[in-house]
Amino acid sequence: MGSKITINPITRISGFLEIQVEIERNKIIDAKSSGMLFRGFEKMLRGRLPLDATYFTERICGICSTAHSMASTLALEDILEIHPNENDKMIRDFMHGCEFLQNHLRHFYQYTLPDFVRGPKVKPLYIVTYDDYRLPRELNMKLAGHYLESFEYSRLAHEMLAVLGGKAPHNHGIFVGGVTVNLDAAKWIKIKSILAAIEEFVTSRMIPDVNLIAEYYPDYFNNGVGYKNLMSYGLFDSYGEKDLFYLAPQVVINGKWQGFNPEKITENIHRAWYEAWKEEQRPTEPTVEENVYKEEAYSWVKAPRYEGYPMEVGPLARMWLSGNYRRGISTMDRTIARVLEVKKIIEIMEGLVERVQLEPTGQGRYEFPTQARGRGLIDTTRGALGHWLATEKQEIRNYEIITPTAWNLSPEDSRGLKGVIEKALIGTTIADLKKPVEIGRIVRSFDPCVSCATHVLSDRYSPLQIRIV
Amino acid sequence: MRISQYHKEILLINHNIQCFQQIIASTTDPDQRMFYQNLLDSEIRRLNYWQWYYQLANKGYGDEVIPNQREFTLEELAQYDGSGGGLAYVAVNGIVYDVSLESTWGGGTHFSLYSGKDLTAQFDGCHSGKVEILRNLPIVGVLIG
Amino acid sequence: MKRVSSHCPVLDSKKNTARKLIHFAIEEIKSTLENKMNLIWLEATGCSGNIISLLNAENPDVIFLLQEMVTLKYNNSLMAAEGEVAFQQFIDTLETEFILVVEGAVATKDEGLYNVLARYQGKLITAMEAVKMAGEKAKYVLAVGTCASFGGPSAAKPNPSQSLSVPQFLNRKVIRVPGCPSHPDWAIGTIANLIAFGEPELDAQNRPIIFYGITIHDRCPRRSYFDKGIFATKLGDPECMFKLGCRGPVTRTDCPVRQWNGYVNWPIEDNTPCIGCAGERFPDGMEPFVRY
Repeated sequence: MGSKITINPITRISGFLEIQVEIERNKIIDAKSSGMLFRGFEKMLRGRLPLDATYFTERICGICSTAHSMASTLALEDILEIHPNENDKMIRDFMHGCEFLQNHLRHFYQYTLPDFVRGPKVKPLYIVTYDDYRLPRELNMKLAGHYLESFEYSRLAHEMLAVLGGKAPHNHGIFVGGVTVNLDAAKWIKIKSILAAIEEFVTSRMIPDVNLIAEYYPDYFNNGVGYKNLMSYGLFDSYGEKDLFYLAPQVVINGKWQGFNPEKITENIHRAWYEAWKEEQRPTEPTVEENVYKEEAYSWVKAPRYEGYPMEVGPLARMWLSGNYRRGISTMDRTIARVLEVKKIIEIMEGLVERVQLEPTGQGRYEFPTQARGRGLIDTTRGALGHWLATEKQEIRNYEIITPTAWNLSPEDSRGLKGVIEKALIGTTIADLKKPVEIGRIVRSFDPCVSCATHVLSDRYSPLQIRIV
Repeated sequence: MRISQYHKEILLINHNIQCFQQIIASTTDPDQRMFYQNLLDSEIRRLNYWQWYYQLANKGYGDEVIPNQREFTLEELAQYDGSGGGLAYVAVNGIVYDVSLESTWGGGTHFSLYSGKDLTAQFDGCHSGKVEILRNLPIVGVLIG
Repeated sequence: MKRVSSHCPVLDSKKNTARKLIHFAIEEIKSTLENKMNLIWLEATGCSGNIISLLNAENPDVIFLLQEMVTLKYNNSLMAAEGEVAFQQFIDTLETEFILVVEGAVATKDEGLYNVLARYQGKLITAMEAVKMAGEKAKYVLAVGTCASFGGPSAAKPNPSQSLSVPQFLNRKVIRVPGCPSHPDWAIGTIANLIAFGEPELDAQNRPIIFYGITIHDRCPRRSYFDKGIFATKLGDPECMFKLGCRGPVTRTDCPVRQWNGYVNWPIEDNTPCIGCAGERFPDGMEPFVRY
């Protein structure tokens, strides 16, 4: 009979996560990933004004608030049928890029590195659970020094965002119609100089660091694989220029490439703490209620599926689909891809800052139609993020959010398909049952953000659902 | 605001004033005296305000009391909800005030309340009916119907 | 001739005693140097935005905070340990003198199961329980962020998780450091006051007056526009945004003078109205955030 290991809290992630695995003969045979936070943003958004959604949805997450402001703004612009002008769009994409830099720097150094490198002598950074540290002393010290340096550069990424967005996190500046900053030369040269500083850090320290880790921990190229089904909603894909374009929306399932069709997305609540008259629903259909005492359920995260398949999203998916990284799919590959993506995004941001003009914003005054639907789908720091919105009498009637972490951290669905992280854990060899260091390392390579992954929508007042197309 | 309510209010204020005056006269503690003096001053201000208000109510809104004796129905009032940067009017106790430039009414809204309405009940609930707060607001007319 | 045993007890004890004494002396010296107060930064029912904001601190930055100001014993985002070993550090700190910082509100629905922080000795530990355990024993309790201070977005209508603010939940004095997120200077500044000068001067809402004493409106660079009645009609305009719904007049923080992220900018300078994110009634009472 197998033995169970539970790790709660999984520290050094965003939010609250419990991982439970069942082990037989040192191999994981079953895994359960449980999101442990629920606030109910979708319920909260009902009845509010659509224009308020941008600032409101930002509060879903502290480390990826810009992502939500982008998706929400895109959904609102979809309803209003407007597009920002080219300059505003570039500034907005640049702001989005700032958040990528901040997140990936923090995730690699502050969240991931302590798994592989003994921290500097600052509590609680060096009180550890395990002792699988393989770097020789000098290299370890060097990387611990870079860990301390990374605080400055990740902070600078947010400073760049604040120059254009007022403050970070929970920035202003991104709004329906474009941006609100009137770019001038002082702001322009400030963001350019900060970008150069971050670029220098990434090239001279971050990329060599991840390669060093990969050298000493090569066994992590063989675990944390998952399903190998990857998806992206597209990122920086509205540009024709090669140096600004990243990737278009696309999907790869079982090795076969496909275009992306949002109609194929469903959410399954079989093992999640919700009740509904239908277990599998489209994001445009409302109707679940919470039930934390539901039998057999173990997570607040719903299980999004594409055509019924669990999909992996995130930097590895993007780098793979765009052809920038094809070495493999595993824990270490995911971590390397994330670091390499920083370089790619910096290059795109450098291109944007060269092209952007010192013009005032293209903001206007916007009035909402009485009844409409819209959606904003975009890839952000952790992967594919979608906001689906329906308004009635100029108020929000439904608001559904599917975050990248919901894709990666989902529980099992009603077809018995495990979530991506669960599948990635299953089959892993645990070297020492008393020190299961592999589990945390695999989980963190997905960069979970549980504050994002959990919400619900309820439409208590109409048991009948009316679909307006 | 009914006349009987006004009388009750005046009675209560006068009673409070008497109490505070007695306490002040009988105390030797300077801090206590200061404390009750403050309360007394506050009550006297309230008395002055209510007497002014009573004049208004009684005189039937004569010219010399209200600068603008425009009459508003609820429908007309609803047009002045501050949207589009326009004028924002609010009715409390039958008097219509202009809050367009009142700093706590940004965009014509105040702690999730919209202007262009009769907000007497909300005012009583949140500000305990302290009508002195409205004293400096421009008055644009009265609410009828 | 019999060899003298190298394990002569007297000789051995001479060597060992000296070594032991030196060892103890070094430990004593170290422990008196390390007399910084302990700090638990507990992330509860929220978005964890305040710890991210804290990481944006500059002079002092987080490294200074951790090395020179306090000994951070427990924080979900930064600590190297995981699982029960990590939570054990939380439990151990309760027996010492410590400052408790809570960010995020306290979910109370279904006995707090809407927010679970750990599994300890087989039992689930909810945020409710952890806040209660630590709140009862802490020397000071700080509610950092609007969710912890007043309920904030976590408690927005209809409050599905039945979240309460920390002062509502705990039966003791809590210093509020609101903001969405809270500016890192406000949190670190309050901690600095506590460790070096005792409790700062607080207003009626238990907020430090040095940060929350004056409204944004009274220090706004665009105040002259307001006073002359010159108003912006859309975002991106340089004039006063009162007519668009700016909440500066009802919000008390020093954003206009301190500004954000290396003191480079703030929402109004970015041509967007203030949404009152540090206010007691944020977000429900501050909507609509923008009104044309």
